[in-house]
Amino acid sequence: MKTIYRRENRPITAVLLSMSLLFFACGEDWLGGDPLGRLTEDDIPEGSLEGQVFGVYAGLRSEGTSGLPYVAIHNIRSDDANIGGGPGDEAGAGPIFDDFGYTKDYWLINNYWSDHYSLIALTNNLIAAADTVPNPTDMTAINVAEAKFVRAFAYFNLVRSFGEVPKIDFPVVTQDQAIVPKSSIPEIYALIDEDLQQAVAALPVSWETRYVGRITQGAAYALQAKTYLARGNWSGALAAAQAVIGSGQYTLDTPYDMIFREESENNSESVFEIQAAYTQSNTQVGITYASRQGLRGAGDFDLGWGWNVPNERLLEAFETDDPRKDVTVLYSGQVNAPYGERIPGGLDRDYWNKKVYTNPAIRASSGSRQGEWFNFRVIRYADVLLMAAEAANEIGGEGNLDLALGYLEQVRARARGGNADILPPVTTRNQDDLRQAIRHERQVELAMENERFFDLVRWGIDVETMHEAGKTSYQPRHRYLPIPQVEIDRSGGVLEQNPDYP
Amino acid sequence: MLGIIIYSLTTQTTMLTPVIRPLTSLFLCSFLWGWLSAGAFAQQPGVNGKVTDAVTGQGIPGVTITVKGVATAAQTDAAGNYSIEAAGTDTLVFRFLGFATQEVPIDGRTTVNVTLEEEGTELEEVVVIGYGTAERRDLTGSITTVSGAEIADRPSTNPVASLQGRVAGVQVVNAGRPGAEPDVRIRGTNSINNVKPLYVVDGILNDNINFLNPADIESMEILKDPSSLAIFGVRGANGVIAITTKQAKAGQLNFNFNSTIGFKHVADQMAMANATQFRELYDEQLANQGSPPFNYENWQANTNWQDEIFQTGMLNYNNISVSGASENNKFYMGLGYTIDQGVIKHEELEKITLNINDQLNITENFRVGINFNGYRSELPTPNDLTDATVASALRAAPIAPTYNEAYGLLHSLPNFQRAQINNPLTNVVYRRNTNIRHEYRGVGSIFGEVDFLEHLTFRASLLVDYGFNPERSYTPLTNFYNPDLAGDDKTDRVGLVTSVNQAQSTMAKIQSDWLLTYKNTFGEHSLTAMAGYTTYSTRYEQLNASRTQGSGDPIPNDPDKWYVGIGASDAQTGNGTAWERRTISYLARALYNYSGKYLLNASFRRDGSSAFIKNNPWQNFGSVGAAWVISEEDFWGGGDGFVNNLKLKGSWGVLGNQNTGDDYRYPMFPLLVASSSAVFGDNIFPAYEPQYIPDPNLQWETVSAWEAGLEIAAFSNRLSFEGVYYRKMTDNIMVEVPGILGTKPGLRNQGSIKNSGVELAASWNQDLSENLSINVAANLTTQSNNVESLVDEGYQIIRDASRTTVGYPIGYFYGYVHDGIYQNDADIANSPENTINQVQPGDIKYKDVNGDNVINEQDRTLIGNPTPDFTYGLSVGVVYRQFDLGIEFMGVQGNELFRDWNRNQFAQFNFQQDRLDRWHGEGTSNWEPILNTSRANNRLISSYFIEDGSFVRVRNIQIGYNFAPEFMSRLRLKNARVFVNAQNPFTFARNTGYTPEIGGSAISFGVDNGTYPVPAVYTFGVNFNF
Repeated sequence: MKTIYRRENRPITAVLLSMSLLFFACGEDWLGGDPLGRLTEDDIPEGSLEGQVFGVYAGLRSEGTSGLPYVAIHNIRSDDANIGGGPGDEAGAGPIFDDFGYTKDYWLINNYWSDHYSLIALTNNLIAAADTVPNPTDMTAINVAEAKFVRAFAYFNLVRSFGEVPKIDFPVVTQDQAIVPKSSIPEIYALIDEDLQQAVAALPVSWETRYVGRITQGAAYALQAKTYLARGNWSGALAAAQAVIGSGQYTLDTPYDMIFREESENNSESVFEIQAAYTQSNTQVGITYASRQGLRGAGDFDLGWGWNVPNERLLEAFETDDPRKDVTVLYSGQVNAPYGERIPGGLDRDYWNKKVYTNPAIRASSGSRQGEWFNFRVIRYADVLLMAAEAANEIGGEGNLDLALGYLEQVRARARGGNADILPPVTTRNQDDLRQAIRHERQVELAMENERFFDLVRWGIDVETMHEAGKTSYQPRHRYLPIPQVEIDRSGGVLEQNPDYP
Repeated sequence: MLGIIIYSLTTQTTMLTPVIRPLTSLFLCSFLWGWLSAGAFAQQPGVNGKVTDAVTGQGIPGVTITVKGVATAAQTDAAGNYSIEAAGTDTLVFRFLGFATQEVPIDGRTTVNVTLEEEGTELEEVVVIGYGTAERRDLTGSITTVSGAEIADRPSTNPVASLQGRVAGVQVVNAGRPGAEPDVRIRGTNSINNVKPLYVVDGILNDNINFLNPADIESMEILKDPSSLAIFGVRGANGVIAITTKQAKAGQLNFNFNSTIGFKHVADQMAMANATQFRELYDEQLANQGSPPFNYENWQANTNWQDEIFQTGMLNYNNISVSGASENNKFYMGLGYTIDQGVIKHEELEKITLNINDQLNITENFRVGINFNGYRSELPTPNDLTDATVASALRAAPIAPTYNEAYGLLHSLPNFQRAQINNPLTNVVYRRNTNIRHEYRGVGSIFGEVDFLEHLTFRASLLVDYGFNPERSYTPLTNFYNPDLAGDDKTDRVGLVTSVNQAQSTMAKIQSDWLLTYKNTFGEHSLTAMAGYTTYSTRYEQLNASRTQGSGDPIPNDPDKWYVGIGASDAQTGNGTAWERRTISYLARALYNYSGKYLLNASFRRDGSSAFIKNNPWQNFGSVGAAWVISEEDFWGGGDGFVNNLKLKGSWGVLGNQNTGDDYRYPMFPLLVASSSAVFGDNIFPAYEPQYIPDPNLQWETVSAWEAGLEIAAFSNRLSFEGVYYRKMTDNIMVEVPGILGTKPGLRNQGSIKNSGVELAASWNQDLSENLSINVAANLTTQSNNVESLVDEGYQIIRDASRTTVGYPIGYFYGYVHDGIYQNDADIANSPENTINQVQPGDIKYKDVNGDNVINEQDRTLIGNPTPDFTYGLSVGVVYRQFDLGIEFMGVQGNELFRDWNRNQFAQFNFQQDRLDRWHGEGTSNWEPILNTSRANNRLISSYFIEDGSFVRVRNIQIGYNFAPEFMSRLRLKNARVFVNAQNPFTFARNTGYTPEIGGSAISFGVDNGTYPVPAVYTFGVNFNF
């Protein structure tokens, strides 16, 4: 197309060209770049680990650390609990948790592993970040102590469940750093011990009311006692438990039938409790602890999946007229205290875990029947007293015997609730008999509270107890679960499977 | 005169207010008036005559006649007659696409008859390339053109959906929903992130074309090769679909009306068990598991859930357009209205589109223009609700009744599935019309273009796309009749709380282009060079709020009440987000040819992106292409032989992909996610943690590609053939390296994927006789995909059954190989030991792939590839006198699908009919395992769940009738056509799902989760031009 440059066009072309020059002035600045409506690392005030610590507490609320995987691995496997749920669940998960036919790829076990390591990662990041804080304050040290407590808690769960596991105590930045072979059990416990020692040194004895439920020194001592007991270190356990008892922070003032009601959350007996909240305006900060075990009915009684139910053996374990039985077991087909609800009959199970039984009034006001607001009481003061009693009894000697009997009596007295006709005090001074009495007390005081399976393992009576209970496929290797296959795949072979599960 | 008409039309349309169902009476006035004036216009005195086709002798309608040097124009009518004002000394110029232009001096005659001869059409064709146009014969790349007329009559609201099977190298997977965007992959799957191609609509770069009306499209160009794509820089790697909307053609005032009406329905339901079969299978399953039998007392119905949810959907598309042009002004306006129902009850899409463009030549060298597309749509039920409806219809037990008359409630499902799925009619009945979603969009551009200094043209344009999506939704109380409840009241209150949600989002895109083009010929050398600068910015903002009823009464089920204020103020949530991206680019291109024999195309682009402003925002892309037109060589002997055109071509280039989707809007800024919070008692404290750690040298993905091929036109251009081999390597793929062991993930450029294949396309056009002509077109594309590297050797991306690892195609399926069923204990003893699970007779026997005589995790292997080996299409068109018949076939071969909709069962689902062949004793089956959900072995990912995804489909059959020209001119119509069309009437597939076409994301596709069906659509339509 041939065109002739005409004079008349000159002004128009001049205008266009000059306009274009103006626009060419747009340079790199125009590219801008900060994200809209979001905080970046530059926005966080220097020296503050608060944000990260809250992230650690949020991590405690994950499914694997406070939901069904935890309950399945810690409680369903015991002799006095069964899988529960619906008939399909029984068919699917029953063979694994009731009959110990462990598989290497089951979602509950995979979740448990990955959620615990996610929690560990949060703590590792915080502990490493503390080194770079320019002006550390007391709060910095406390935050690090909180993270170390949680890390110890997570590793304690992992080492009890799987045995040898990878030890990751540094922040992971690249893929290769995270591929680590298993460490031995003593190595893991060494990390746990070190973490807890540093935690008890820095944690406060109590917090202001707006932080109710936050990790205290008492919680660290209590966890320390548990870890010593798991290894048979009686003197260490006794010292740690007595530190909790001696602090004067905890009492058994709450009546037994009130412990597991919403109004008693974070009461004077609570040593370590995973916090949850749920309202119509905030539905994101709940946990699934109650809904996974909630009674499985229809309509208004659809309170959850109904897993982890007491069996006949647990019911028979209670002494005559022990009031704790009706606080532990929720019966189908009858009226149950304290709300007077009549649980319908004809359900899949006769018994349910009453220690997750939610208040119908809160069910109505929150718009959910699933109990997402129900806190997970991990360690209670009664547990600490029983640990002290057990440790004292094992060490032996007259003074310790007195201590043991005293602690045991405190627990039984609270259970008695003023009724002198039931639960006679234990007076025997024979070590074996007292051992049996304390073990029995642990079973009935902490029934359905995720203690029983690991107690049986550490007492060495797991095989005989399971066989007695009819769970005859239990073998000693079933103490430890196989490492999830998907993790072994991801590690490209560096992580080796437990040799009991080739 | 024409100016007055156009001016009046313009003012009338600016008064047009948006959105009313029947066509406006205003329009009817315009067309009547225009029609009358068109008639009047054609009757002016002057020179007249007839223009005929040299070959057929028939009159040619629509030929443009201009008077040389004067601003007058005319067009021939349906019979080829014309009339124009001219002086005896003037010269008339006759122009028509596909024919040689003729200049005929009038020499004082009053009647001038002209015969026009056809030309080699394809070569003269002008195609749209990035930032400009060029003649096809000057290009070294692979560009396929599909004209708007070919797809205008198809019953689809998205024009790209109609491309399925028509274009080599383009794989289109359609979804059946009304208004659904198809999954388009050009030359394979490039990346693990987004693989959508770029759409360029009249120069505006966009990533979707929902706002376009297929009736307003003039042509679509699909750009596939590096020499065409490099000019698009970071947006070009996935291919480009360039769309030109209709503009007025010189010298005519034209009205066009077309309307299509039809219905669609699900051609084949899936074979699921009925109540009797369900009872038989479920009873056997319970017996096998040792569970107590089920009490059917309250469950005596025989419901076909698929019949309950599906309907025959109706569709109706209407379009009217007016266009007019004079020497200096071209105006086009189109208005469209569409109703498209889905196949699930109460699903409906309603759409109104408006397209206006105008181009004015202020002087011979200076042009300005404006283009505007407006769109308003009422969107149908959201995808998650329809997907849930289809999935639950496949899973709900047939023994459950649908409805309870006494209570007036839907019936709940039996207890073995009640916790996982609701009655499939829940979303159809209770949630009917509870989502009010609108989409408003305006896409427009203005440009100014000036020619100066004889060879230079400068063009400046500003393009804007603004969209606004308001949405209101309501969650109702859902109560069901549940016969299993104790007590007298059988009302099961499942949804306890009503809530209202409101959301609004806006998306604004602004683009400016500044292009300088130089065009010149020096002797044998011809050069077109272009340099330019373009800026682009996108901004998205979103706001939402919701409230529940709190402790108050339920919110009524009345759309007028669904505003957030009606809920309780202490039970509310709200959120608002935004993101923005900007790009600055410099571009340059040269098209050179030496006497039309040796061609060279080169292009370059430098992009700066706001996403990487922290370190280095600039990246360079470019390409080089060359071609040799052998048929122009002297030794070839001109066009005398039967080969008219033979061109060898090849190109190589580096392209970029910035399309990472929603995951990484700001790759360099690991966001502090405040969604996790700590709780102490009842106090909530928000917590912040970074989402991932970015690599400081992060940049966009690049694709290095080359292609080589040839183009042939032969037998007087009746045969045309194009064959190309392509090979692409995508590097620097942005990968989120996880969180192994739950640690913070990192974001890095650490992956590469190779795609290669052959594209063949051929077509044959022939006039068999005066009344009969035939054309056949076929295409075949092979695809081969391999992940070359991804972080490191053992790295895998797993999405359930889809896996992406090094050395395998992207998204392949990985699992065990089904090798039969264990018939008895002896069989188990004689086979390799299965160490994953305890197996019993009736379980699936897996193959010992690695030969170590043990079945364990190492016996998993590639069991399926969702990328097809090849895709093909064939279309046949026959024109006999007034009738035309078109049939299109398409097919896909060699891909596999993964059947996931009945695999993981946390509850008891309905059975497929195939399960009637289950193993229930020795020798009863060697494929279907025993009915027993405790056998976890049978749920492992294996080839039991793999289905052949190959299929052949009759894609479209159309029969049309063009009314005779003589008949037309009596009615004052230029032409009229009626047609009937059937889309997807027959599909020959081998999968169990509704459709073998299953798209997905880049790393997980071909997985059947209960996919929405692709219906068969039957329509009838009319098309008038006057």
